[in-house]
Amino acid sequence: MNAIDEIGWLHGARAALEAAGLTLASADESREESEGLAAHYADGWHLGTLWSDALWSACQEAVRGAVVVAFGPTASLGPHINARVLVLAHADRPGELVVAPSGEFPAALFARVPVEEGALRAVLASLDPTQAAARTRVAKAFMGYSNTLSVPSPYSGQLEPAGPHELDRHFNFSPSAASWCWGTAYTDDPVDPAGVHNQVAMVVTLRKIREQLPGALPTLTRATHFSRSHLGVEMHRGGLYVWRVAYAPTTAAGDAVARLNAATGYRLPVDLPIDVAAAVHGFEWLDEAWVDRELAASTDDERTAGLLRVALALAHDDLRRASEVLRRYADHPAVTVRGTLLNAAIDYNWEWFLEALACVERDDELREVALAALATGVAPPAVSDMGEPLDVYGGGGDEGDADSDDQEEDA
Amino acid sequence: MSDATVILGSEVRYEALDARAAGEGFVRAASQMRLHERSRAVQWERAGARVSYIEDHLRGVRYLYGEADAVALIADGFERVSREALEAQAAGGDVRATLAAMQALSVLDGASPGPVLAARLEALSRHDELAVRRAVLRMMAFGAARAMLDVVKRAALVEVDATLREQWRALAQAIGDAN
Repeated sequence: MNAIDEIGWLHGARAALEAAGLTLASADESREESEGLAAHYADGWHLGTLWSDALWSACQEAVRGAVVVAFGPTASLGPHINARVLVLAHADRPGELVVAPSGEFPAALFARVPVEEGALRAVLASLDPTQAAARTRVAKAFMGYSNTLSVPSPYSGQLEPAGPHELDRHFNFSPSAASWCWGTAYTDDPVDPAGVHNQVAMVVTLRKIREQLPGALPTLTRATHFSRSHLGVEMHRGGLYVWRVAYAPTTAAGDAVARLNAATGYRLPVDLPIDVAAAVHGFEWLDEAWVDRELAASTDDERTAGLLRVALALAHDDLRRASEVLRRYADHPAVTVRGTLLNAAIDYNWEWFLEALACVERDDELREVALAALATGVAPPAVSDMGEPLDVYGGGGDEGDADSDDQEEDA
Repeated sequence: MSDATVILGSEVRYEALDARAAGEGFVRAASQMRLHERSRAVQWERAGARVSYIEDHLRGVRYLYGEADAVALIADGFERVSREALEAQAAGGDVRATLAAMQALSVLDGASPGPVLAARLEALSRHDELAVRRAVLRMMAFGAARAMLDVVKRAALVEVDATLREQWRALAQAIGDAN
């Protein structure tokens, strides 16, 4: 007796499931897996996902009444870590199957697909890291400041500021992204999980691959488990983090990301793979359009300065956009705003702007700073042997005036 | 076939250029990430013809460079800034606009500054504002300095700001060593 036999509307679905390469669950297997899934959301929040009440509730709702009816392939996610695809159905939702990358993956982001071989094959392919499509799109967004973001400590469960070490520990438990990350000296994941068997060698390797290219903005990137998207965290001065996500646009998981946006208030691109959406949830995701809108509405100089800091970090490697922002605010009456532009020009070595500022700036102090920067030269970013900016644990973050309270309200 | 450089207008998006290049049968052969001192760059190729897109964040200029016909194919229809417009802008009274135009002209002229740019660099190397003289030093260091060694040597002698004077001297020395 298979589980599909216990759900009336699924009786005719056997052929589609088997044609898609799925293995039907026996009644006993189904009971065990379904109860496990419900139990997963019965108690406290799990490490590795940055939960919110909205996401947790959406996950509880997603597994309520869900029955595991089939199993998909098992993916190798890292040394000794595997994930098996689960296929679920609800007795009261005829015609719809729910595909889970694994039982640990946030259920609110499970894919909902029709009972059709083609749709099932497409979603299974999207969850198969060996079939990952080319990453043709890059999305960037403000992630927050290291000293205002928090992640739970795996030791105490208490929230702690999200420095790079703490982010590593957070992702070490992630059901959606790899525990290791690489620096700008590498363009793709240098680790072959299947090839790592020696723990000591792994520790050495994981340290080595954090190397940053001299002169590059320190960035640590990890691959997501299923789509093999590149989830990069750019670490700007003062602990300002920017997401840099390279991914293959996909709609294989249906409206999963749109549903997450609706449930949580996020504005993630709806073509984002679900493992990226799961990994970034809980952090800020504020894109260029959001920053532009807030800048246009801002009447407070300090807030304008904070937003500009974010806008210029998002644009640091896009000269067209950076020039446009710098020129738009170069004559702003507030010194704090023009000072923010000056600081960014020094951070990102926009010498042309420093020269212009040094020629026309009416504030003596700003003009002197610009001149001094030009005279002595602008130092490239300095990183530790772990590929992290030297200032990231040194306080900073004082530019974080795009305050998180406002962002959460807006989000 | 000769090479050409086209200065791109502020509204031109890289993504649109990339799409145009692909539409014309060019293949993205290389891309270089922006580093502290190194420009972001992309190179397209087609049947031996190469075109590079450069974002020079030090000079604030974006441009296409490569085999003239290939550059024209990719740039066709996009906003570009002509030499005449840059020279007119450089002649205006706004220092910021003058410097911006000269940065672009220094890209166009490279190591062989035209008479208009050379005259302006020479004049501004004597400007009252330290910041302007410093900007001229940097522009010349990008290429024009070797062709204007007399200006470099004069500045190395008469510059009143000690730090800048040393930088002019270092530039003169570097040219002398290279020669």
